[in-house]
Amino acid sequence: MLLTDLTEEQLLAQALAGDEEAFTALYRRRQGPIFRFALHMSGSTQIAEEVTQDVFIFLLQRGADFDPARGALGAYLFGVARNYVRRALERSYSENALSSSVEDEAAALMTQCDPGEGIARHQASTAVWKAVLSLPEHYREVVVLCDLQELSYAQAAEAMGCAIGTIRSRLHRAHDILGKKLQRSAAASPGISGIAARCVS
Amino acid sequence: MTCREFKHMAASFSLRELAQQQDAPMFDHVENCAACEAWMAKQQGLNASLHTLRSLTAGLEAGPNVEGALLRVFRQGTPVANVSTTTAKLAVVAGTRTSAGVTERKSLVAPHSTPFALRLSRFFEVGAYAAVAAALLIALFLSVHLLRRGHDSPPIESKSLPAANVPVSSPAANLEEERASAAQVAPKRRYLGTSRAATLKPAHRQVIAPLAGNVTADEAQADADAGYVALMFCDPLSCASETQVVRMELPPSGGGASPGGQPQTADLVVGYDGVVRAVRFVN
Repeated sequence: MLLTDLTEEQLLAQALAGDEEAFTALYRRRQGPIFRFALHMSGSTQIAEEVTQDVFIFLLQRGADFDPARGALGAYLFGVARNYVRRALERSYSENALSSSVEDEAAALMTQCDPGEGIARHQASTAVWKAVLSLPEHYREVVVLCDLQELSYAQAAEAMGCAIGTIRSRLHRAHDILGKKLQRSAAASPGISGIAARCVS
Repeated sequence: MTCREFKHMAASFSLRELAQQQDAPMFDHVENCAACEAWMAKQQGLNASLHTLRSLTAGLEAGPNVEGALLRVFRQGTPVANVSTTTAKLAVVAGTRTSAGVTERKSLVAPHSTPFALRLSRFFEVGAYAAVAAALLIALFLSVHLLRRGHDSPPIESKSLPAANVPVSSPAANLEEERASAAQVAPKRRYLGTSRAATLKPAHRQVIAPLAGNVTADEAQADADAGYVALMFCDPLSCASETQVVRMELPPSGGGASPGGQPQTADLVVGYDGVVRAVRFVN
């Protein structure tokens, strides 16, 4: 049977049994979402890579504790990542490492855009990302999980260990706050909201 | 659709829970309502912005160095080579691995060095907890103390009524009774933690301090059984505490005034609480 046909739970079992290929396959399947989650939460590539590494090391150490009956492996990994992100953010806040990282990440993103729209998308994404990063942590988590990682409410609730209703209410509130923040930033630098719409089209 | 109905559905729209048929009336409504249109525009702007961010970051992944480091951990458990300046803090040691699989994997993530400011803030946090605990203890102690005090303070009000007919003017006759009542009360007071009962004295032994009427202690003792009228609220116990004799002139219009309109002089036995225990008209 090919590794691509195996479920994540099966890959984990094989990896814990010492199968390196299974571990690599699992890592490659899951590292992207974990990395992006940490990146969106922290705004720093360094922290995101550190968290990704920590999550998979944790999986090697404590993967046997994972119980498929309690939820999917993806949600479990997001839950672990969430804790590592919190820890990393605590450290970063005290070291003031986060102050200019958003600008750097946005600049990196800009290079991936079309040259014609590069600056516009850079501005739009920077404004949105700044707004997301300025949200309180529990609101930021739901925005990142549901809006940016496109998890369902059930999966997000599993990852965060709370009820679906909590996710819904937090997301609704987070959208309210984000809307106001974006409106304010649009008023400060007109054109950003229009740019965002253009990016989508 | 009214604005009220629009607002009712707004949360579901914001959470993208509505099907296309369901949100069609909302779009119809915003064509005629400026306020709802502004809200809708804000939501659409937000959704577009989030979509932009999501599409821009969709392809981002961890660098190959992370995978390399993890594979090194998986293979042999030697300390991980530096992934980045931040992950350089990680030092992972894996355990032995047999052909049957990973029998023992002992990965140790070196504790991240805590910056001094964070340690300091934790110190203050612990200090704050300790201060709050100490304040609670002190408050508890004070409240218990105050409660005890409240229990110890002598009841002034109606307890004196039953013995109100005992005249202070004849302490010799009531001495035995007073002593007996004091002896009854004393153990209880001692139990409550006060030595007030030990200070109880018979009325005729009180130190009588003249205030207004220049009455000395000897004169007061001589007048002890000379026509004092006990008032209703004087019980043996409270009358046994320290008292003072005050001579004062009652105004002519008062009840004690003489029929000729002359002011009447009277001696008042006043207790420590300011309540008059007994009265005697001098003339």
